[in-house]
Amino acid sequence: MTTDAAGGAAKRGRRKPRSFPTIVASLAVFAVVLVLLGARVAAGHDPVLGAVHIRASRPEIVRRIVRKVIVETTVASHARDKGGTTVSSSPVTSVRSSGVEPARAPVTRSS
Amino acid sequence: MSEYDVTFPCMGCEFRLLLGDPLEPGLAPAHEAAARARRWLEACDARLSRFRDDSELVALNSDPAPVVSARPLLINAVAAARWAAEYTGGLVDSTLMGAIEAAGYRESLAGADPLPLREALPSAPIRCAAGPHPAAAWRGIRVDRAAGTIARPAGVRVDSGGVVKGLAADLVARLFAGYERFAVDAAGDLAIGGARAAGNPYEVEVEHPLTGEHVHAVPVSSGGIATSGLNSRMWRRADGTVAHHLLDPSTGEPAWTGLLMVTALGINALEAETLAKWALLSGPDGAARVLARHGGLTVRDDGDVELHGPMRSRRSVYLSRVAA
Repeated sequence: MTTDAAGGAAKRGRRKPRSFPTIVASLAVFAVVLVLLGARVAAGHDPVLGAVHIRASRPEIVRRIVRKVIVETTVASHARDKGGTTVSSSPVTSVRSSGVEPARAPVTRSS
Repeated sequence: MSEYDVTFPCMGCEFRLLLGDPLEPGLAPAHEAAARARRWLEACDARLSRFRDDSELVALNSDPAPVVSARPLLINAVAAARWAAEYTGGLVDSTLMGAIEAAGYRESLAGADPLPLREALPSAPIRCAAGPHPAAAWRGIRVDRAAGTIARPAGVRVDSGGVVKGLAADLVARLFAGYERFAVDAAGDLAIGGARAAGNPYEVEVEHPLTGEHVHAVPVSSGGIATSGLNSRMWRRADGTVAHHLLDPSTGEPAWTGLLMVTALGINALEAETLAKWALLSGPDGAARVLARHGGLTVRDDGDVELHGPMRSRRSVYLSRVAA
């Protein structure tokens, strides 16, 4: 019997929560969460996109390509000697050499 | 350092110009200067060739007058030929036109393959040093620059072929003096220079006449280096004997001195070319004396290579330009 009497007193002590504070509290919690999430997104930590690793900026690599241009022209003229025979001339070759690829060394030979 | 490099046929051989950038304002870019030099060299060939009927040299040799007016280029060429004969005691003699024609060299050999040296050597005569012609007709040549005339004894014809490549290289070198560095390669006779060549000399390679290999490299920043050898113009005569273009003035026959090739250094290309011919005609012992001052390289009949004078050292060879 004692137990029943105590249970009845507890039931009498409970109150139905009021609706206004509950709504205000819920909105406050929502606002706090919204502000926190907005701050993270603004900082680049979008939870939808996952973790973002900002890479350290690297210096731009400039690769200089040195081109060697060879222009080869065949001269169609012919040297004519006294005997009337025709001797074809050898081609004319010109090259602009760079410091990377120096010109071949001069050669001295019997002439 | 970048360089313009052009190779072209000239004087029956292959010429090459290597030219760095201009250092003085107003100088043409390297490719334009090289093109101008090339045109001048080709004109030089046309005017001084003994194989062209319309050349100034042929006109001089066919003129019966004892004194002939001539343009500066021909005067320079004849003066150079006269100087070479005087310098070598008559061994480099430009008055042997009749003898060279009699030996079979009447037409240009441009483009023709020379007789291989290995094939020629076994049938060559006994080796001996060459000597000057006793008549020394070259002494009769007189050049008057002021009057613009050339005088020579009756019947004497001048062949400037022995000196014209070196002379032409030196004259082109004057045009290139204001450039970083240059090499004027007149078929193996080179004039080298340039304002910055001293710190970056050319390593001139010497080609062996029997193997074609490069047997030595000579650093040259200023001056001349030239090679004279038997193998470039060699042929078999109708009687089966072998001939080449370097004559012994004392006999008028091709010289067989025991040397196949000589490379010489000089204060310019003309001197180097003259020294190389002089040394080759002098034979092995005489060549050592001729090459003692500026240095050089000889190749004997058996292919042995020997260095002489300053070329014995592997150090850079810096020849100062001295007024000749």
